Amino acid sequence: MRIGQAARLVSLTALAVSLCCAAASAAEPAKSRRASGAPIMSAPAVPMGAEEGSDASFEEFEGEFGKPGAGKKVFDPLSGYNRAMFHFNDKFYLWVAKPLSIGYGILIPEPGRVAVARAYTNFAFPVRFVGAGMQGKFKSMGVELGRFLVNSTLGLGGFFDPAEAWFGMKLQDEDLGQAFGKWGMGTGIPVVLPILGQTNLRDGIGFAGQSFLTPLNPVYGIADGMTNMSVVAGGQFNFISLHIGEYEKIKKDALDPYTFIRDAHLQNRAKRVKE
Amino acid sequence: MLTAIAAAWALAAVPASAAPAADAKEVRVVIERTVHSVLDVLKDKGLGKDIRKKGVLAVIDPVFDLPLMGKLTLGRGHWARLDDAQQSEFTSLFVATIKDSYYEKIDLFTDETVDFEEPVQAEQKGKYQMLTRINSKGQRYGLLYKLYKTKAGWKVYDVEIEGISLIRSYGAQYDQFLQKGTVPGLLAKMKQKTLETPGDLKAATKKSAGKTGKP
Repeated sequence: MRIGQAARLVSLTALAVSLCCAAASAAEPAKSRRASGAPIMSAPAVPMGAEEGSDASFEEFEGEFGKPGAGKKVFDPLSGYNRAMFHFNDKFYLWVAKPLSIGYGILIPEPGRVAVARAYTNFAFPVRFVGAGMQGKFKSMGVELGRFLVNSTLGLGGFFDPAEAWFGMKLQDEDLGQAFGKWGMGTGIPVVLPILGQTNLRDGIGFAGQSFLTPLNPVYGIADGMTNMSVVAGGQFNFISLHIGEYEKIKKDALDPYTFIRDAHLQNRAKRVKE
Repeated sequence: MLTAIAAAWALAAVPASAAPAADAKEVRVVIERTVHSVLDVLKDKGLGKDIRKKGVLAVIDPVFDLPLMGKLTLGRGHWARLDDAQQSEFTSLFVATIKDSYYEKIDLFTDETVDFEEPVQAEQKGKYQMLTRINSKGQRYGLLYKLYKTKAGWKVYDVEIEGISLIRSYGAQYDQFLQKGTVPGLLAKMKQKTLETPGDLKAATKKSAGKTGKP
């Protein structure tokens, strides 16, 4: 479900940006001051905090954000290739995946697509179960097993989520990459995969492993490669159809979309490993 | 005598232990009030987009310390490279950038519900973090507000969604740019980005561009 993660990340970052931007507020007074002929720049929109002792306030926060401009660079030796692949994926999304997803979205109303997304999540249960097991999270394993049993039956194959709604069993966000991270493995270098998008060495290996955690993998003889790929791709179209426009907005906002996504991905994965 | 000491102790101990609890309560009130008010405005589809935007900004205005966020995003190292005029221009452009992106996305918010968790004191004194969970289209996103204490109350200095920090994410891009690029180059690029947006923002940014002269 690597594409899923990439797509999920895209939507996350879109949400992040948009929610964060609530901060926008401060621009309002700045604008009115401008209109009233006051000096444009020097007036901080928020009257407090930022004004007093600029260096002092930096110190107060430096423990948290480090000293940007020094030491927080991401080691990205493949950046040339990565940027090229990012560009390719960008076009693939805009020219192929997006139009198809829009078409699909017209056919199936949103509540239906949300249900389909749930079913895909349910189907990916082995990834979370094994990922939790590799970290010794037995409680999470139990919750996941319970969720799978409840949602596959009462939830009509996972289209609904009674496990959470009725029994309070929440999805356990685990996968192989997170387990590797928990074992102390670093992320390795960032890598952009064709179509699948942003990942890193560690999580890419985890993803490769996860492809065996679905009964549809051709090695199990139940489905052929084409069927497997179609099912995976279907999930992605479904996902994208629920998040049209989000990637475009990130791209528009970002000074450097590649750096933004790469960095956001690292932060997101680091947080998920920690949990 | 002993009871007097014990009483004094007890009295002394109360404010000491009560202070963090009071802080946590304040933080919780600030965030809950802000989030609820924002959702109320966003969900009122009877209002036009512009009015909803203004309403939301008015709610959030006192809570977010945007100029500080701009500074933190650039970081001390880079911030020091900017002269006064450039610092002012950066702050203004940062504000505009954030505002633009918000303006573009206001309509993404429709069916969200939010759950609140208890605020947690950060490692550093005077700082709190409060996790909220947004339920949207069958998915759950963790949105973490990071606040610090000012004389005017608690203010947000960073927001993380699913671990992705606004300060870090924008900071990484600025940092990346400044590795090779110049400060005027960065300001020009930020200006160009804000100019891509429609409406009154465009006019406002143009005005500021005119006054500050060419980068």
